[in-house]
Amino acid sequence: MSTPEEIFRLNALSYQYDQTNSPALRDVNCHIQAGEAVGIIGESGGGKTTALNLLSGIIPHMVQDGKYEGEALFRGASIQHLSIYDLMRHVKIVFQDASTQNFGLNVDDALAFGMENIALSPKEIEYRIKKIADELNITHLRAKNTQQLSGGERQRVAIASALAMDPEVLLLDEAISALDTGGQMDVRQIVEQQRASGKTMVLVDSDVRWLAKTVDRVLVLQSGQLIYDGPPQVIFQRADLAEAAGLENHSGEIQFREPFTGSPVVQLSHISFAYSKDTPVLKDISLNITAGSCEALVGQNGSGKTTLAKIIAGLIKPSAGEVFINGQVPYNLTSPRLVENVGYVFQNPSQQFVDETVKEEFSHTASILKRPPAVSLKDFDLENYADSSPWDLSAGQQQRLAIASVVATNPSVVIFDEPTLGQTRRDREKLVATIKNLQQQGTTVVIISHDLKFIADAAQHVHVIDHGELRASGAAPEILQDKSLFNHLGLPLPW
Amino acid sequence: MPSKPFFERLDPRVRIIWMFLLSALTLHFMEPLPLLLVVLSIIPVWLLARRFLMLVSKVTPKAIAFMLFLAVTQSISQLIMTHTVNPNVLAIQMERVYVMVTASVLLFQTTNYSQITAAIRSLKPRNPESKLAPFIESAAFTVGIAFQMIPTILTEIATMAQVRRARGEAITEGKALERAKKSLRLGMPLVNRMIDVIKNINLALTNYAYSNRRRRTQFRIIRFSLMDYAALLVVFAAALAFLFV
Repeated sequence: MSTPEEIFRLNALSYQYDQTNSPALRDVNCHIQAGEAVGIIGESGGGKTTALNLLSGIIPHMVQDGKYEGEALFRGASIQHLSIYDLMRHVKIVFQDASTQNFGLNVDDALAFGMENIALSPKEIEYRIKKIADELNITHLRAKNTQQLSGGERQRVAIASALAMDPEVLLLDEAISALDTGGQMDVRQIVEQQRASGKTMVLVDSDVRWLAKTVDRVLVLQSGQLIYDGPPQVIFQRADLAEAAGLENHSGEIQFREPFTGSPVVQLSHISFAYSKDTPVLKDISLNITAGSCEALVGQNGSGKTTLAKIIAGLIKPSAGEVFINGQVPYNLTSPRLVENVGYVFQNPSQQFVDETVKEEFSHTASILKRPPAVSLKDFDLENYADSSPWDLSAGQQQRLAIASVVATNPSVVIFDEPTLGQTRRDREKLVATIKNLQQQGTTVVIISHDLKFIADAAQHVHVIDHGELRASGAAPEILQDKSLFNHLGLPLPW
Repeated sequence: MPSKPFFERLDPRVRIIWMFLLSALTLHFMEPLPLLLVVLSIIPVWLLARRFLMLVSKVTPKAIAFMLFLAVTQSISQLIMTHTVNPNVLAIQMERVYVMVTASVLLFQTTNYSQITAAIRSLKPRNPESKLAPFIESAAFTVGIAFQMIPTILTEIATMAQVRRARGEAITEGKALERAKKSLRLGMPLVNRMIDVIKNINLALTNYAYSNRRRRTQFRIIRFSLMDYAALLVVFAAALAFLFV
């Protein structure tokens, strides 16, 4: 039996970004063989994305501001010395943010783009588009304008575009976590198919349990160091690895939170919203949010959850209907008055940052209100990064900074938009603890998420939005056990 | 599904040539009356494109408002330069602007950017080694990415304004002038964000092995049909008729 070809080898590889105090990866030695599926796991900031960028050649060819030591080899040739175009003919990476990954007016054009670049014939392109669209269940999107795709649809198209080029190696950097559970199942099925067909894959995904079932081998990174390289099952048996992987104590039973009763702090009455006549986003939504409770807005990608939350937060004016927060119309409040009532943690925390350092960012809104922050950076494990740039933090740290800077003004309602994206299990557990802590201080929490496990852990009430309409509303244990409802939505319950 | 209007079924290159010829004719004529004939010649094209009502109801009022603005500024300019206002010159300028604006609106109403980039790419020489090919590819790609970036920039601006409001900054509040002044604060962050977007696009382009210097194929090939040749003939015949009759 012949030995499989070695695709990647890292020899004592270290990498440190400029303006950081410690290496993102340090002295990593490992190899990946043809046909292997390898998962990279670890806490946020552990070096997972850096590792993928080194394998894909993005570092050092596209990102050059850092210190590179050791060597990374692709089929025995130094990645540093290979042309990035030659490398990219064989290796494709799908990023977490698909907003800039699709080129073309419609999905067909976007799928064709990469194949045109490698000079495939139009007949071959047509054949591959049809095949990949069928396999990824996106045939219905083929004529759709790429600007009108939801986040999940964009991600599926980005993955399809990469796969259509038939790369030898596929790297997925949290490419699945932005999808709703239905979309995640579709894409995971594709990953499993590709895995079965013998494609070499390197995956970073926050769902460690799924990853462990899917890959042949895992690499566990902790503070940039490779602490384990071997079969995935071992991480469930060794406490140190489970800890480093951010694996939760899995009892197998979901502990729903008890419903919360009280008077409403947010009242929505017959809310509708449309960007234009032909594209209604929300249709006649009426619901109340109880003061001091934690309530979740659940729905498919593109169902209108974020739009509804932005209406509550006074960032968007509804086309019709009324919204009150603490008896006031949020859209009519001045900005300083608004932030006293409602805080909004954006889906992509880096979009939210406006200052140069972590400490300035943290106290930004509190200083506008001329009051000391209600919390400290230490409460969010960020005290050692006070002088760092917010943009240099890891995804988990950015998320914590975004929350800290919103909570610093002690608003009566805090809205979290997809807070678990790109977060490890431990980050999520910390987030649940933060939410419960906020509630104890009387803050009302609204979560928008497609992460149903997280919602089960955090929310007491659930409102289900289906294509812009309120499909169901009620106590979390009641709603989150309604299998037929969630199956109808295409969001199968994970329990 | 209703069939596409005749004008939209034409090869995009015919529509582009029509627009350029029309613009060239307006620059050629120096008298208001022949120019008026060029103006009137747009009407049958509106009808063929089934855009007559839309253009009359939406574009024309805007075009008229724009022309009035232009007439006033040109008159002031003429007064300053020559101490008199020449109505002939004004009429010519107005007619030229009207033709160019409505023809471009009609072109962009009926031609998506995918067709425009395909039309530009079709100009590439057959020889892949030709030095002209990278320039044409760059031009086509630039047009495509510019159209794709416009909605991205608008979305970014809206998100930034929302972020600032959510952080307690009153960017979108106050009177128009006050709002305009406050909006300037979004300038640098927008530039920074756009740099990030461009970096991400660059990464994605590399990921998709894009290079304007390498041979690439085209999924959407546009070819002239008999109908296109006939339409082109009519366009050129009409242009010649204007010139010589």
